[in-house]
Amino acid sequence: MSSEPSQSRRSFLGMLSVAGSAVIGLIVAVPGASYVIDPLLRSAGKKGRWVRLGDLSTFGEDHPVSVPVEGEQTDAWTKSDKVRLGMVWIRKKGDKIVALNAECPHLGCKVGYERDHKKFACPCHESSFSQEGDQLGGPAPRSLDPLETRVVDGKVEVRFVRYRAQVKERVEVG
Amino acid sequence: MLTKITDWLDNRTGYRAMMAHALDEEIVGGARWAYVFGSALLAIFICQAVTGLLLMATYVPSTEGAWASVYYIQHKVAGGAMVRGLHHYGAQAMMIVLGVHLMQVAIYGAYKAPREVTWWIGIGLLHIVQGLALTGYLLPWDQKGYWATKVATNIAGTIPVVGPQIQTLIVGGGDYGQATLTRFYVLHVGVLPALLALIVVAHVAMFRRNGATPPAGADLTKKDRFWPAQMFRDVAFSALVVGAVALLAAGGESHLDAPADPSGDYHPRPEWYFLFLFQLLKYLPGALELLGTIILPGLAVGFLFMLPFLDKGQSRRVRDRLPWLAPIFAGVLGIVGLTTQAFSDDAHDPVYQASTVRSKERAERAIALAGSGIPVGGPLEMLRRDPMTRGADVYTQQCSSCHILNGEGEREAPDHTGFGSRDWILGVLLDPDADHYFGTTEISDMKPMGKLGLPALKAVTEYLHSLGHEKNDPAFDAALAEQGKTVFSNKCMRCHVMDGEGAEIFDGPDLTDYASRTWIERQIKNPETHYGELNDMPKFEGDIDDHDIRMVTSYLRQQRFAKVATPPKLSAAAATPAPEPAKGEDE
Repeated sequence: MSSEPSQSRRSFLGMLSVAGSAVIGLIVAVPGASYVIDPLLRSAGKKGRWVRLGDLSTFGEDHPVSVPVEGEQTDAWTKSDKVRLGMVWIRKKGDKIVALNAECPHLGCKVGYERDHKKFACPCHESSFSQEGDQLGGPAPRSLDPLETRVVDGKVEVRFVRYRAQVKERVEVG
Repeated sequence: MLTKITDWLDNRTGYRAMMAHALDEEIVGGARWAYVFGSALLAIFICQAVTGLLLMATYVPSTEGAWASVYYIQHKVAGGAMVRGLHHYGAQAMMIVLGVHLMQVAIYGAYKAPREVTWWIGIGLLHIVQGLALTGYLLPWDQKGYWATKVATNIAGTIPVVGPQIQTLIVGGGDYGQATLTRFYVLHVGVLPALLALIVVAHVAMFRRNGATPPAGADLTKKDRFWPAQMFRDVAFSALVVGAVALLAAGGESHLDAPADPSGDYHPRPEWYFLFLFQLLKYLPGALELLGTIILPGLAVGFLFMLPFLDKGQSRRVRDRLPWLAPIFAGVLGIVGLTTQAFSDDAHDPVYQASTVRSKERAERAIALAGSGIPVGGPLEMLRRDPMTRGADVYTQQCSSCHILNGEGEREAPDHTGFGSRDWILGVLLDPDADHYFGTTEISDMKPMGKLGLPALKAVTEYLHSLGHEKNDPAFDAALAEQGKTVFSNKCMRCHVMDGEGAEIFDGPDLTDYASRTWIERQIKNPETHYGELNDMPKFEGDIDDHDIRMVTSYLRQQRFAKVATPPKLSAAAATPAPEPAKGEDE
């Protein structure tokens, strides 16, 4: 003796069970998905800022000097007054200043400077660049990224910007 | 095409047989709404696991990062408040459904042979869920979690013999802090959920082996399959519970208290589902305390554990088992009664209510400040740098034993409510010896200035008020202040010092930069520089560090924009404005 419900009732209850499970799933999935993609919903925040690097007289004409860039940063919830944001290569050229972001435009490794060859070389995939930052060889998609500079009260200031790696055009990312 | 794929899959995995085994389970006595609670618990547990993993993607278990990251989840991450709300209310729903599940099983007599092991495993699960609730509560590292958990770990310390060792192990040392947080974190996200998942599998396997327990007298010839008759009921109830949790999460207030502050004044309460234990401790002083913390809960759990051996009769009728069910019902009544009493006690306790208001204000302030970023030092450092928080704390500790501010403190010196505002200054000019001004101090030589007439007084007021002006303050009336300056030089500088001049006939208070930041700082550090030998106030230089003096100064300076407690008695001013006074007249 079975009290199994009729076939149509069975499929109706089955459908309701699936629908109910979907409701439970969606209750978690909808906020969950928005939580996960949150970084995509955010604007990139403040891009480019003027940072003071040091006395003009400390930089030479023959070889560039690498200088750490420090500034204010809000990283998720943490706000710091002075953190390392990156590194720039600075060289005087006549009455101008050549400032290059030390991040390789290929995949973001920090490029070093080879004194003997007067060129920049990336330690990762062997991209190389001239003292001016022009690409000499390797897989990098573009030359090193030049940065705007100015001199205020004898101190060199640079507008520090980071660009997206791996693309030909310069797209500011921070 | 689809059939081809599923056929292939079935051939390789045998999933159809597995599904059939899972879904075609026979339910003797028919599907019932009474059986839905276990499945609902499983559904909530899965939701907790998913939302918990999401929270872990942002949460940082450190004393600096915990509150900050939870703040970030709650207020900055898209969907964060909802994810956290689901987890928070889901935990509470779990406690309730767990209680109902236990009662259903007890009432149906489902603990009897051959289901004893399922029952015992269930009791184990109950404790793991309680452990999850207790450990999760601490993780935001806010006042609520910090203090409630501190109490709980101290209770663990009262266990005879091994208590202190257990407490040290849980806390991760002698002090409650960073190690406590990481330990609780690992318990909450690693150990306990893994244990729970394993034991749930065992619990469900045992359940499947022995089947559901139909109520006494049920028609055992009636049979249903799990799919879809019982499944539908399980899903419907689970959706109802999860839906209710979602509504609470969507509508509930932001349940993040102020950052944990070991020095703060706080009236801790456990989460409502532990409130009965909290209430019990109020009635058990001294040595009896162990009764409430260890003995009674231990006896209750022991009784539940032994129940299958105690109630050995064949009957599953409630009537026949009353002696064994009575303690359970009494326990439930006791829990409900104690919980109600705890809520009622708090509702009628003005001290607790006031503390709740203060805590809420502090939480709102912290959340507002966090909006512009939290320093590396964490939320407490953020509050330490906030004049409205730190300044208020320092004021309460150091100043309110003599001064009143916003109705709180002792009246032994001027009331600071509205200090530096126009009404405050005008009030002093009209009635310097009033109790809320200098009436309670040694500074009592100044005569009321009402006879100067209201226009002249208002000009002097504007002048003195303008001395504390800063760039971003609301503008003052410069022309009026200029007039006031003239009146002040003519009428007030015989006694008062201003910019190093005056006080020819009497050594009265120095009003240079009156009520400005520098004036207030000087006043706190060394009041004699302003009040000379009339001064009665202690020097705080050295007693309060410079940072705190700056904080309390900024805090007090805000009073220039506030309303005074007692408005100035304008009637004390001469009705007819005095003519422009002749120079050199003394007042």
